[in-house]
Amino acid sequence: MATQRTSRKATQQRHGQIVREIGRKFGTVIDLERTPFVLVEIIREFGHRFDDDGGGGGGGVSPGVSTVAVGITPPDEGVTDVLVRTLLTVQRDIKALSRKLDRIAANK
Amino acid sequence: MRVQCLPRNFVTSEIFFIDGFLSEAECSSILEELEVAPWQPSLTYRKQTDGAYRNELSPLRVSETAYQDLFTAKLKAMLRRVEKRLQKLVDFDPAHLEYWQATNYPGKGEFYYHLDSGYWDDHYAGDRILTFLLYLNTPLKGGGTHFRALDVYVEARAGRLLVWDNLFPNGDCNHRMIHSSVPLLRGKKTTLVTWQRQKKFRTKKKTDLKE
Repeated sequence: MATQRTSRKATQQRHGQIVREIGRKFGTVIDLERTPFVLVEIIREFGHRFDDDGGGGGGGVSPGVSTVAVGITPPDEGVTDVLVRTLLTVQRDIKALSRKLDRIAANK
Repeated sequence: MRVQCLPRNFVTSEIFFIDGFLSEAECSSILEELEVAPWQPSLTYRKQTDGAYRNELSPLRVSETAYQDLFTAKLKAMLRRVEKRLQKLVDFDPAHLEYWQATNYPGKGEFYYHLDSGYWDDHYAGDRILTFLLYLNTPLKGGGTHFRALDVYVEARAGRLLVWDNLFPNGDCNHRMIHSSVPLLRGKKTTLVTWQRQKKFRTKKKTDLKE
């Protein structure tokens, strides 16, 4: 009996933690009329956290949860960077020459 | 261009777009400059097994990216003007902006659902507050931006500026802002994007580009 009570208390504590985490990530007010899909998102992200409460098995990160963002500008590559710049200048010059040649050809 | 006169279309309190932020001619000029940019496979920012966050390639993001660092001088000058226009919309210090990135999507190219913030608590510039996304062309099918939790879809249209707030007022990442770049089904899609950071991102030294 005492073990059951301890277990129930631990589960409640864990659920409380999850609810606080949901509040931090999605806000403390969920409006099911205006933004019903916020609830879907919460279930998507947190649903698996309740799997060991007598529901299904499993665990791990549920599908569809974001783990990435757009990368930031990569660090300077030094010499490679300089070479790329030089190549770009050459490429631009060739493009400009090509345009001029096209114009000359069109006027002939 | 008088930016203040362009109507802001608020989709939600966190998301708005402005059509005609860039003119057709400006979009064409930018695209022309980007023709000679060095395109590389787009990177994602992800937590590694050692706990640190790093740039890496991911099948969740199918596109190529060109970085401001290697843009032409003409394009950099154009972007400085764009930033001045953005400042008329939102009060911010341009030094808080990340460097611009251009993204080019191939057919079926996409970026699966993700958040722009929540990864930079320990970064010297803090987290990403606002995202500024500029569409440079109008795809024939697909290619818009979908906010899954808010059920909001914003079509990609040439010259349209899309802005959204990634953080709650207390600075925590707002997970309601999860979004994707929907697969490009027909046509072309090229965008320009930058983010306003909580603190200064741009510093004088080139080496400070390093994370």
